[in-house]
Amino acid sequence: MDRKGFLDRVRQATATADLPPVRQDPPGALIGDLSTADLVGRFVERATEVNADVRVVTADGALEQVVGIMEEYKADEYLGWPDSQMPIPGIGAGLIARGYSPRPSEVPSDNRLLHQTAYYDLVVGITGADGGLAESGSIVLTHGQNRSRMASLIPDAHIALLAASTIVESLSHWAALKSESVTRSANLVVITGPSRTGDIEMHLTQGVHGPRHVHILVLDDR
Amino acid sequence: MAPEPITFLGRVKRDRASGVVTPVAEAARRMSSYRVAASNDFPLMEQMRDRAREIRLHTLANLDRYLAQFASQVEANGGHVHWAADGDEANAIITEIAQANEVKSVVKSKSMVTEEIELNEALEQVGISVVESDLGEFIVQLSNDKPSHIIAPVLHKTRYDIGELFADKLDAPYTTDPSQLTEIARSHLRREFLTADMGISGCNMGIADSGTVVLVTNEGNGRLTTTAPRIHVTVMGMERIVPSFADASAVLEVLARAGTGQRLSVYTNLVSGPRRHGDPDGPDAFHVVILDNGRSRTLSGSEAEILACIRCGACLNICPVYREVGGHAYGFTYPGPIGAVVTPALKGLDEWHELPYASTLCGACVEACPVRIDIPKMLLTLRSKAVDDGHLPGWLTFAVGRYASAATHPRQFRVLLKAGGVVGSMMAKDGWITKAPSHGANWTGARDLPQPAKTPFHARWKQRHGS
Ligand code: SF4
Repeated sequence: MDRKGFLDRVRQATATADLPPVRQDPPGALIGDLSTADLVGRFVERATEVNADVRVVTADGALEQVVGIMEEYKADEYLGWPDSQMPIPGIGAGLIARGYSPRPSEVPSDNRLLHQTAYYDLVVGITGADGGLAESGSIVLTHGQNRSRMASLIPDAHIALLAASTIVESLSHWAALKSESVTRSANLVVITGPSRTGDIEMHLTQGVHGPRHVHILVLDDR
Repeated sequence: MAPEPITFLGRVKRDRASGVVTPVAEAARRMSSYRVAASNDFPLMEQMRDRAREIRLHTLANLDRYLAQFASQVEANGGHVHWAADGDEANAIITEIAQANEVKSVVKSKSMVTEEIELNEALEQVGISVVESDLGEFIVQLSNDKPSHIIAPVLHKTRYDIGELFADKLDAPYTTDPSQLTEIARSHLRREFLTADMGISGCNMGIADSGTVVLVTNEGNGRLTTTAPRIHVTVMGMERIVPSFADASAVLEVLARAGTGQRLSVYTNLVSGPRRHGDPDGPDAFHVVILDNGRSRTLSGSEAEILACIRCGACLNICPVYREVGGHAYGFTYPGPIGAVVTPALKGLDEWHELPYASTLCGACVEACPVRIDIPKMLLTLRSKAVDDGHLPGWLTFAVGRYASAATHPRQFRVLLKAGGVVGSMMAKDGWITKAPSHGANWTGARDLPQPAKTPFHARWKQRHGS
């Protein structure tokens, strides 16, 4: 069907639709009162509730934490975002200095399939986050500008770096304040804990297609 | 497509006999309790439900305008938009995209709308392999089954069923441990998923002002499907639109809470077109197929409000009928209260006139529905439409005919009541009739009937008060 024919049919349908009275303007986000004296505290609590491992770190202490996690997984390489895209500076450079190697994240234009399977066995992905949502314990990631989508999706463990100052109350707050985050990139993801399923007798199992473990390092920059 | 077997009751009997409904009630009850806990935990829940409802209704009333805006924005983002009047058109469009791009394998994330149009069958017919990536859908596909719940497709299967299935079809060691079963599926499918040429997803919402497709999953299949393959195709029911990201946020705030009791699902994935300059990964091409398939007809009439549904599954979980009969009895993609309205609305009453009766009209679904859709009201309207169309159930024609005659002849009425009392007491056991003869069997086939009083009310009244 063509666009015009399709939309004409929809227009005619709306003319006779039996709907309750509706608002004239799009209602938009509901910004209710979810205030708390300790936004970061709530973020940590809620993210922990969904089985993320959350650590509040200082700029100086962050690298040690990342290295500790790398050792935990016995990983010597990782897929990550470049330092320029990270809210905590110097992590990539620090890892390289300690002998860890980042894997290239570009899709080779001549061999797409190779890229699709390149991270099949990779254990650790390291990304930044644009912000956090305290109410649900979520992190928000926009992709593009060398920010790999696969880094937070394929490896078994995802390490996310987040600045405390970018945590807002809830998804509604984020959507109302940062609507441009959707248009700015081709892909925005809100991540709330590690990948999970309850499909088999509602038994909670972690790590189906996405990471089994999510580690969030919150930089205390307030 | 007519349902098989042909009557609702026939399907109920089949499924109760085979035992597939046994796990349903307990699972549905648990999911309902998660919803209640999550709602109580969120101070803004009631306000947010009102807001989500307002957003959905506002969008439906202006749907043509928002659809046009959405399509233009998708194109501005570098995507392609296709318009499909029905399932056949949608399947033809998607097959064509696949063939034009030499696609041999497709990975799919969970989507009810592609179940509705039977897309897998269409693709397989032209030799394209299709793999479902949602664990539940994968199990459905492997066992040649149908989903029985809109967000938990294998609610009707036990870990033993799945253990046997994996041992049989995947050559896996037999286990009944859900974590191990998940691991088997993961390792079996990973490479297949990652090497697919094309990813096909459904769509929880389309955001009109940014041309964004919103995909909500817990496993990550919605991200995998839209990240690894070189082409991403979204199939979207035309009603799944919201005006803006801000509007989408209100719907997302209630969706997971109502469905699974989570504050948000694990992955809320917003896709705005193919990968852009400077993106290291993501699909090279992005298509949206916008589907009507009976929706504009539904929108034009008295069931328009059902299109406000955000497919959370809460009404299934709370429904006393769904808990007893399971999802397959409803005979089509959408089971439970939502299905009892949306199936006849989309597909017509001719073949689906029984579904509006698959309800006790208790109202639990309105109570649970995050966007407060008045399902019982629509079921009543559909019942009356079905009767107008001449679809009165046979036993009811008989009973109403007898009643009409008796009610206008007081003597006949008294005689019948008396006879009813006597016959009833002969058939009853412990105060209940479980097997009535003749037309009465249509009632007792599905539920028990209390034994009628031995002495009718009017006779007792006479005894007490005289005349
Ligand atoms: S009708 Fe309401 S409760 Fe049922 S699936 Fe749709 S939104 Fe959820």
